[in-house]
Amino acid sequence: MLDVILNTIILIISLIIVIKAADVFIENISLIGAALGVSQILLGVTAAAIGTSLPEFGSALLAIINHSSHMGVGIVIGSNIWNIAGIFGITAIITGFVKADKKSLNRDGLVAIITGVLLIVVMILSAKFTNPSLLSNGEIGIVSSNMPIIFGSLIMAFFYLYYFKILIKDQKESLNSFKKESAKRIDDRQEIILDSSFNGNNNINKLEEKKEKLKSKNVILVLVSILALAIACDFLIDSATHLAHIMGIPETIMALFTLSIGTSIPELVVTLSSAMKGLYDLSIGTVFGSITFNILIPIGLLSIFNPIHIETLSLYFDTPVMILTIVVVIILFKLNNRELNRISGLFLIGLYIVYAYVRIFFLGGM
Amino acid sequence: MYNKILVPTMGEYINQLIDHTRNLIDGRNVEIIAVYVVDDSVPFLTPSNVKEEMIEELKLKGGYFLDKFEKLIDLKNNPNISLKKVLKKGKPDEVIVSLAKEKDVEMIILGTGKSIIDKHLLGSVSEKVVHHAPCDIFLVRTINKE
Repeated sequence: MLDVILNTIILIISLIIVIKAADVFIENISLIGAALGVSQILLGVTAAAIGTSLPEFGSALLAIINHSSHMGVGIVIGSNIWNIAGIFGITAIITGFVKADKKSLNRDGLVAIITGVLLIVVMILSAKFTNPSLLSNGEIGIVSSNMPIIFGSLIMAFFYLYYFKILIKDQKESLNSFKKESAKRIDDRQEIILDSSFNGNNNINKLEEKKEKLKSKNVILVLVSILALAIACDFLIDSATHLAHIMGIPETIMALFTLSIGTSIPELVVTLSSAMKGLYDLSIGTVFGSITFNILIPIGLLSIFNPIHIETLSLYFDTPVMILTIVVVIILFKLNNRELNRISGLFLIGLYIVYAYVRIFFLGGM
Repeated sequence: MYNKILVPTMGEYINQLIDHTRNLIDGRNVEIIAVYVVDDSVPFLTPSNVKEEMIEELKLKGGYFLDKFEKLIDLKNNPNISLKKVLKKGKPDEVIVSLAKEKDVEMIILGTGKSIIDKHLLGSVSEKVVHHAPCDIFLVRTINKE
């Protein structure tokens, strides 16, 4: 009992450190980038794309390095299912209204589906070219250490770069139109009295290129945050593994539900609070951006350098469920004038509960 | 009476707010302070770069809605109205109440009309303002109208 309490406390504390360290890292790396003359648009899109996904990336990386890569894959796939069904579901239930803009829904939704299909194709190909092997926990799985998965992983990484290029292009277009106009209007029109906390006329500057001095404090904070992220991720995976063993829960179940929901806290708070403030683009972009990053970078990139274990159930059940939930949420948006209401939210949460029940009690060996 | 009026707007129901404001003024000389509050509160563990992005987006939205307010109130054809547009950052209810005190306004006109579910899940700015405002309040019932 004491072991369970101790490991749960370690898991919660390390999770908070992981999320905070990722935040400090992104904030300071952006400042360093700005000082080195990296475009503000590139920095903004990068920070938005990886900002909330760094905890999943860090914990999946540590899980794969620590030779429990089925946990790493579980974190990624579990996070994606939770992002789509759980986070969209909770947000729609609480706010009663989530609106998607046509361009983002078509672009990001389509990319998310293609990414999911790409993942499953790479997994199936690697399964065909490799022999089933015994995993550390005694389950039969697939070890991917051959050319097909390296080739597939490279395609996934390049696909992400292509998607990233599109995001930067769209962001540039957006800045050239409404945002820049609006910022100029606020700066120019003296009759709008700004709160002193807004620091006066700085809207245009924030949207345009500006070079700041490189500060050693930012470099130190980046190094410290990477170290904190690595150590906290290690503790997170370690405590989750211990808890799984003590409670007799399969490690994959721990990764698919506990770790994936925990590391997705930034996505939940951002999606929910931005929807409450009516910033629906940010809300939708956070979820779709995160699922695309989660698949293409942690799994895609890491499998190039390190063979990953993919549990058979992840391949034939979790990944298809992930693609299905993405399709379902896009259909729900399309059917209701690109909006999610409370009924859609309840439906999505229901879907997640059914998935969790089937996965844990029927397929998970509990 | 009511020579100085505060009209907080979040962009929704702006037409209804303006209709009621005009009716209440009824051709008298009145100073209107239109305020958009950039709600900068975020939950614990929100990434700081995302918080900054939210504030920037809301600030741009605020500027847009204040300009829309000015356009709809039609100062050209209503020379009796003088308008001040204010963009402030903070908790909406607290900012509205403190601005009303600071500017010594005589009335606050604001929309209300969340369903009971919304009120419980999202909270109600108008309800909080009603309890703490230093002046009279005119609540415009906006439910099911837009």
